[in-house]
Amino acid sequence: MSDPATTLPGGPAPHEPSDPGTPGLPPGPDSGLGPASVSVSGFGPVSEPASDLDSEPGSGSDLGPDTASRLGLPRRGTGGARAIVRRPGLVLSVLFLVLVLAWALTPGVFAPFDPLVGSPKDKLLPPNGTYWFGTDHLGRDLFSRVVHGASLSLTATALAVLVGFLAGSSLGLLSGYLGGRFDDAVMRCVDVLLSIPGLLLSLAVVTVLGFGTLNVAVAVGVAAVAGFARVMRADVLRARTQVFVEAAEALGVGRWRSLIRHVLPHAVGSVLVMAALEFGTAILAVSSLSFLGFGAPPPAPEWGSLVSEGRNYLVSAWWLTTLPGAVIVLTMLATNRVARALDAGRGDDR
Amino acid sequence: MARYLLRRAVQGAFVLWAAFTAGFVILYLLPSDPVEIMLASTGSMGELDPGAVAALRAEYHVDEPFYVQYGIALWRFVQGDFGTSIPQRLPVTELIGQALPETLGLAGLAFAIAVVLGGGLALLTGYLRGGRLRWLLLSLPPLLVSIPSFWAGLILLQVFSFRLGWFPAIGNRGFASVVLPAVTLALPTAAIIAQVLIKSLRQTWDEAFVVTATAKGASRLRVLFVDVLRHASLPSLTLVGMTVGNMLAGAIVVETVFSRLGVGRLVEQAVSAQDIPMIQGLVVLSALVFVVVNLVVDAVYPLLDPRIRPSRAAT
Amino acid sequence: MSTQPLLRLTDLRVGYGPARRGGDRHETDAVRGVSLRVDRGEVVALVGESGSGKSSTAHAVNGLLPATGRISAGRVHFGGQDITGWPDRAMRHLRGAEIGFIPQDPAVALNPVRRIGHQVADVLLLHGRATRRNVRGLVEAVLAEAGLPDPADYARRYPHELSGGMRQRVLIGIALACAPRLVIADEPTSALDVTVQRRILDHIQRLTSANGTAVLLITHDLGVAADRADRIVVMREGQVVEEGPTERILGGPRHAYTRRLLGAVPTLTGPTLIATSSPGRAVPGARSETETASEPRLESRPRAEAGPDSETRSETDTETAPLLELRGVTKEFKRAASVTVAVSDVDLVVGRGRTVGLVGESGSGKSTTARMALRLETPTRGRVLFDGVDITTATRGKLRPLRRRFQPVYQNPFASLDPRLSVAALIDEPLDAFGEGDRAARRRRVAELVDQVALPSSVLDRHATELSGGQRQRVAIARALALRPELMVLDEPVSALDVSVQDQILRLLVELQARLGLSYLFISHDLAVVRQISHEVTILRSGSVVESGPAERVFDNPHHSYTKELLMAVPGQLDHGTDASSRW
Repeated sequence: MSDPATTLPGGPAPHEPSDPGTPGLPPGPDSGLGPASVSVSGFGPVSEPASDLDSEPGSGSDLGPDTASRLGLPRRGTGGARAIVRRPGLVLSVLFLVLVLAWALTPGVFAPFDPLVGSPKDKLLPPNGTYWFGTDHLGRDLFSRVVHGASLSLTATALAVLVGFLAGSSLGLLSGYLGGRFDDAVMRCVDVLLSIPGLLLSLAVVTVLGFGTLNVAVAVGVAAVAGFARVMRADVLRARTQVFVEAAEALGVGRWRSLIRHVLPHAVGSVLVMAALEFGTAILAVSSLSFLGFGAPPPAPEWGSLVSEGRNYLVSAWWLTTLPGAVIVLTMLATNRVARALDAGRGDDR
Repeated sequence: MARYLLRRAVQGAFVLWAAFTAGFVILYLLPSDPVEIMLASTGSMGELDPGAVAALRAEYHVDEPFYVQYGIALWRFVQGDFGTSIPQRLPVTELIGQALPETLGLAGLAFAIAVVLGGGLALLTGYLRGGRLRWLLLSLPPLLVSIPSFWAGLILLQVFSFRLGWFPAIGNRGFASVVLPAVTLALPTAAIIAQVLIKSLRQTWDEAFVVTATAKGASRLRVLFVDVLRHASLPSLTLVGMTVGNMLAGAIVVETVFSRLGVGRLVEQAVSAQDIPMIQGLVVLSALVFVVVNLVVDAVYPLLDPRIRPSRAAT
Repeated sequence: MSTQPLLRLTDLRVGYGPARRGGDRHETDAVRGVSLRVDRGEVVALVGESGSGKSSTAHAVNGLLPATGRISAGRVHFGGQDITGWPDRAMRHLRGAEIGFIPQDPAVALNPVRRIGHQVADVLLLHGRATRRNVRGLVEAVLAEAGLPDPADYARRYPHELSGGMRQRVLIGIALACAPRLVIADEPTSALDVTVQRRILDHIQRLTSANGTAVLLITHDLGVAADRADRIVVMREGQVVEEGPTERILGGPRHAYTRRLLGAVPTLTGPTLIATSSPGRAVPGARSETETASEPRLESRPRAEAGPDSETRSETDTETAPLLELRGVTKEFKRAASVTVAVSDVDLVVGRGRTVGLVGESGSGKSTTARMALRLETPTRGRVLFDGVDITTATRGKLRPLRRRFQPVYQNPFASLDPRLSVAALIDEPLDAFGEGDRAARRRRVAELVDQVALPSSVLDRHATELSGGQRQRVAIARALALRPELMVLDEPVSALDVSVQDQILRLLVELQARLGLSYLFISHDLAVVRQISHEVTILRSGSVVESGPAERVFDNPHHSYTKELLMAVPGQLDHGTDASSRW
């Protein structure tokens, strides 16, 4: 082993500086990584059985049948009350998201007043029993405007995620699976897109498409395409080199069958989690664009523009900026919390 | 190594070219041409005589076929000329050049704050083994990431400018005026740095060499700084490029909130005025920043990670 | 000298996870009431399979349990002092200075971004054995003692610039730098090749016995324990099942588990699982020793270049022609400017109903050879023939009908089985892919296969992730058997398994071969395992064949010096335990 004569092409670099083409990591003289082992899982000297595995009871080669429960996967019969005790943040997040979604779908049920018509005598009132979030300079109820704003803002967000997810993941899937020149071309485009900050990219698209909620949604979605494509491609590539995928080939299972049965199910997971995370990012981007004034024109109550309208009354009416902003923050927090829970659940799954 | 950097530089040049070309194609495909937008924006549509319009069209080369326009624009681009801003009728490079120092100062300060804040947060959670404080610290980054910077900026304004009067609310005058914008800009970046570093610290604590170091008799603090930190900070290095890009994007919002002059403000104005040459220039600028920063990271990385260097034993 | 032992564990319990209040918490402890002692200068081996709690026991001694682990009961005495529950601040002075630690896997146990010299200097500086001024010279002395040729040069290197053996020497140097009274060696060689393993163990033995350092040697390998230890402590499921002087444990094990463990260890001297020299044994297709491929190149040439679709074989073919033949295969990997030869001009013949063992250390090219045999890799030069058909460059489509006749079994059953599928779906996969019968027929076949590999039918609906390592490998074998192949290419099929499980799987393979007339190409790094089941053996080194021939001849009368070295290095045959090991 101490002879450097067996120097073989090294495995993947442990840390790649940045994406395309890492300088070949010079393999240690004995990096037991044969060229084969990159794809066939350590054909190294010994994958020693005992060793590290017994430092944690129950892990490792002797995973008993009760592994699932030990890993904290949802057990049947876990009561809701117990879930609240164990993960109160997650439960609250889900409840809040349900509430906001209900606002978006049926704003009339939740909003006590008309979002567009105010009573001038009640203008700039601080939050009170009647006007929970206070009123603006036209005497409109801020809470009603926030509830109605949920519809516009969340629709735009959902649309943006959908655009990014569909376009990005299908590009990434094809790119990863077909490989070759198509892959090269797509990845170069992705490089270009990734080199431009998302918000700037969205703004450029908005410049071209024009203002409005729909255009903002598309713009935010376009900015997300590259990220989705890259994650999907990486996952497809990784899934393709799994030993069980190669095993399927060696067993004589056809390529397409293997793609659908083994590669895709393993690749799609992290893109779905990313979509959940992207939801939070998209809320932020949509409301930022709206704040900058590129969303729906004035009387329409988008969340971002609500904050923006309040800017003129920063000194006298703090609630006009603070409360709609707080709703955005809570929505972001809740989506991120749920997305992380999904991610963690998936991690356990493997 | 040199070959690798050269290859990365070529890739970077490609990115710039592609960003430019994409911008140009979009510009060309737009139903209205720059001259029309310009006339519309100044409200002088129909007032100028056709001769003057034709002269303007010739000046912007919009009467030429596509490839000629592209050739001219590309040649100018290579020379560093990004064309002329439509509403302001000034060279894009000149306008960016005026605004850039303000934004660089802001972003530089914000970056420093973000590194100190995010790094400190991560190190503290890396040192603590448990307890409420660690739990509290761990919940900070997700919170910070969830706060839109326009809102954070407005809250800071309300508290520190209007209530306490510590900092001026708007403008570009003096150091005091840059503090609040820089903090606003730094918060999300600090959160990202903290998140990445926390994760990588946690992974590094699980590495076998940490056990070796502990078995030597080193204290936890010493292990953290001598063995863990350097190894764990490598992944966050690759974030720098993205972080700088985020600073630029964040500046759009922050400069608007604090009514500061700067590149971000230029973006906001350009979008409002549909000033496509300006947008194109700014997009290419941000791509340039990204490419340069990543090139620097690539060059520095091997200095910090010996495994990337050509190994003596292997040669 | 006091009569007190250097290290004494009394009814030690180690638990993981959050401390549970009251009740039955001990049920889940990893270590459940272990008592043992290590005297001054003594070598004690702590032997057990995975999950036995041997590592947890060792880590509890110097407080290196992972964050979730803790000593829940019992005492640890070191040098007469009760060090149970000492705070980190106090333990620090013991670690490195009084208790050295040699970790398991040298590949990851050194900080990759710090120079070797600095990592050695740490331990000297921490315990005041050196000052900033003289540390350099002392570091070089430690490295020289560790057996590194040019200490000054090595001190400046980074870990990745050293081989695995070298790194382990550095780690040993660190562990012994302050001349501790006790060294805990946690599987110090299990990640190393067998020849390196021997040199490292010799090295540890020399250094510790010279200084009178006691050693607590954690190992899963009874051979290693037999060679090196004064006393052996056998652990199972967190408890000590037996302990005693090495000779006594090996010679007259009292506990049934120890006996079973000893019986399962493959050796170079005991009986093998197959009858290599008795032709009377009912192994279909097996031929007597003289007929077999001691000279592979002269084996009968296949008739013409039959198309891959020529499924029909005459009776005479079956009798004489080898099933798999590699002729002068070479595999080169191109990377940037350089070309690496992974396999060079390898000849290999697998006869019908025979098992050919392909042995080599890491980097020897054995896995690449296996991949070429499976045509997952195309040879750069040379030819691959399956049943007389040249498949060297056969396309995916032409290969596919042949694939059902040669099937792979991978080293790692954790990676080679899709975690999303149930056992039934996994085994059904090749059947389904080749359209074997209708759903009901396939289900019957799957049930039959599960039965064939001695798994209960209750596993069918479970997922592979819910099974133990041995069960998974059985599933992998059942899957490989599904299409009734003639050849199985087994790439390190038992190296990820505990020794008793390994023994069961080997027996299963032998039984299946006898029953179904299978041929095996069996790849392994473990000579003792290969000896158990191989008719012929081929030894690879650096991509080339150094020796091949009938198993008995190669093992009893090796010609090549490398083969001899490999055989010498197999643990479990040093003088120390000779009399005992011959009884294995």
